[in-house]
Amino acid sequence: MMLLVNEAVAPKAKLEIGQLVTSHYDQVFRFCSVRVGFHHAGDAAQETFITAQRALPKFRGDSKPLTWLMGIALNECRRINRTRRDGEPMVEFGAPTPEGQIIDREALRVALAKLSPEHREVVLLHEVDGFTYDEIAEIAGIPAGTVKSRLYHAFLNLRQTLAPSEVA
Amino acid sequence: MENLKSFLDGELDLAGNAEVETHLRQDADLAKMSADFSALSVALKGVDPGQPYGMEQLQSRLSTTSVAESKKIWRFAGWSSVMGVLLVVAMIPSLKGGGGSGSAESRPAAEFKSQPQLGASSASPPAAPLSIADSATAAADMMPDQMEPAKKSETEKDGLAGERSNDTDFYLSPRTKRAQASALPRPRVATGGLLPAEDEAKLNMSIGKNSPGAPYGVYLEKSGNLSVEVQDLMRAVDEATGMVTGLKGFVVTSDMQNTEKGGSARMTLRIPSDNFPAAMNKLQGMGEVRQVNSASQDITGETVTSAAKTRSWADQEKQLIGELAKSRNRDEKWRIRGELSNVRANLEAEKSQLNNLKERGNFSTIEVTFTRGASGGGWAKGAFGDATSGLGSVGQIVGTIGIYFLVFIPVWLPLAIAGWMVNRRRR
Repeated sequence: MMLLVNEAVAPKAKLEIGQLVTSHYDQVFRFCSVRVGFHHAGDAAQETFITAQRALPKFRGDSKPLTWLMGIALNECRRINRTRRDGEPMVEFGAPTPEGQIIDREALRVALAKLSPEHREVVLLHEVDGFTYDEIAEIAGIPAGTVKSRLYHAFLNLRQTLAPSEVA
Repeated sequence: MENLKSFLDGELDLAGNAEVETHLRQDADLAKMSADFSALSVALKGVDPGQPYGMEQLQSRLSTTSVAESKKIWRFAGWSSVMGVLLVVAMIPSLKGGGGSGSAESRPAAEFKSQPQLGASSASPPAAPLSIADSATAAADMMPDQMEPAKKSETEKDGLAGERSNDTDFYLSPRTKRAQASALPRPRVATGGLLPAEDEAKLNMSIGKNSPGAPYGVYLEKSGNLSVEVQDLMRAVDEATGMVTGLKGFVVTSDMQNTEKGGSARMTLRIPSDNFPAAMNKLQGMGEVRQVNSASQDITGETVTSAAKTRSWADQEKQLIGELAKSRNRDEKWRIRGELSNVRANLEAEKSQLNNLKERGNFSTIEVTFTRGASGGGWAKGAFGDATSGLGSVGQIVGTIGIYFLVFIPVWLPLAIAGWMVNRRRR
């Protein structure tokens, strides 16, 4: 019983910025790369961790460190895109895979670019970054129901943009 | 069928899954949509963010940032301390009890103690034994800022020495000294019968009430200077002369130049001090005032000192006359006569000085210049004058703001730095 009490009141393990960088830098970089482009992704990721270092004492540990970091990264990417004159960059696709060849990649890039920023954000967070609905809700600061609804409508829009020629 | 996407993502519970599966079996379009959504998901997985870079750079930045942050905090603390010290230094005079007045309080005693030294330097009559009732209080009433600069600095030096030599005064606080001074009677000049009684009474009257609105006991020499634009120069000069005569004054100088294109008249007027405000008002009412200023010089100290010296020389003269009468030795008589001659010369000089001071206090001087502009372009000249005056006002306002801005640096700069740092951190 005494042990349980001690565990309950024991402070959470203190996060160190070095650990966060080692374990999450690649994910944060990819996250930023999709949103601000490969060339600015390094700066965005670095600024994210610099901001995280300053904000670390205020981190209460209510959410996962990764989602907390992604929230910071999302704000950083928005800030960078706001200051850019050439607008938001379009996503880049890698080498085509047999499963992915059903859809024309260029057409998909255009269709993604046509989505509203809110819809595009949830699509990227879910399909590209692989976050669950609850994690997306935490990162973007919106209810999970809104995430679900936005994702469905974003896919409908993508399908409409690509149909009938592109989607098999 | 909003649940379709959730179904494909595995975000539905068992009941939800079963429901969607049923729909999919029955609805071919829905099945087609499901296939399209799946294909889109697969295609989107092909997004390539590229190979991460810059991790080493970040790690070095993080280490330098932590050092910079701590440096920044220390720098902020340092600046805040400096600002705090400056603020405290700036507030010290007011904490002492009213800035300039604090230093002014130490000057009355200084003025009083400088009297023997003044005497000693010029054929030294003995220090006047307070036949001028309380010259210390008279000096206490003087406005230090209106003293002549040279005399002021001399007084400050003497005052410092005097304060140290006087044990009782040395331990008294400025407030106590001021209270003591205010409790003493107001200055009264008593020349011990040297001046005619009428003159002495007049002098005392003038010390008390020579300047309307001035504190009791302050003896002021007033002067005014004004420039007035009039239509008719001759008429203005005549009016001014009539006005001065009416106010029991007189015209000292008058000079006029009158041409077709314009002209000016310059007058120096002497007016009884009591009538000074009335004269200034009347002169300003004679035309359009272009410039006006007035000044007062406090000559209370000089007057009181001069009266004291006069009395002292007179006492000395009386004493020497007594000694001369008693003396039997011829050589001694010659010596006393010589001294008597010196004392009388000093007495006469001091009397004339006192009379001069009386005159300066009783009559004020007004320098007035009347100008008449050229007949053409009156409105343009007026507009130009107004514009110039407006520009001057704007410059004055800007200057005032600038001075406030500089003086209030200790207040706004720390706030600005704190705001900037908070903003920086938030960003």
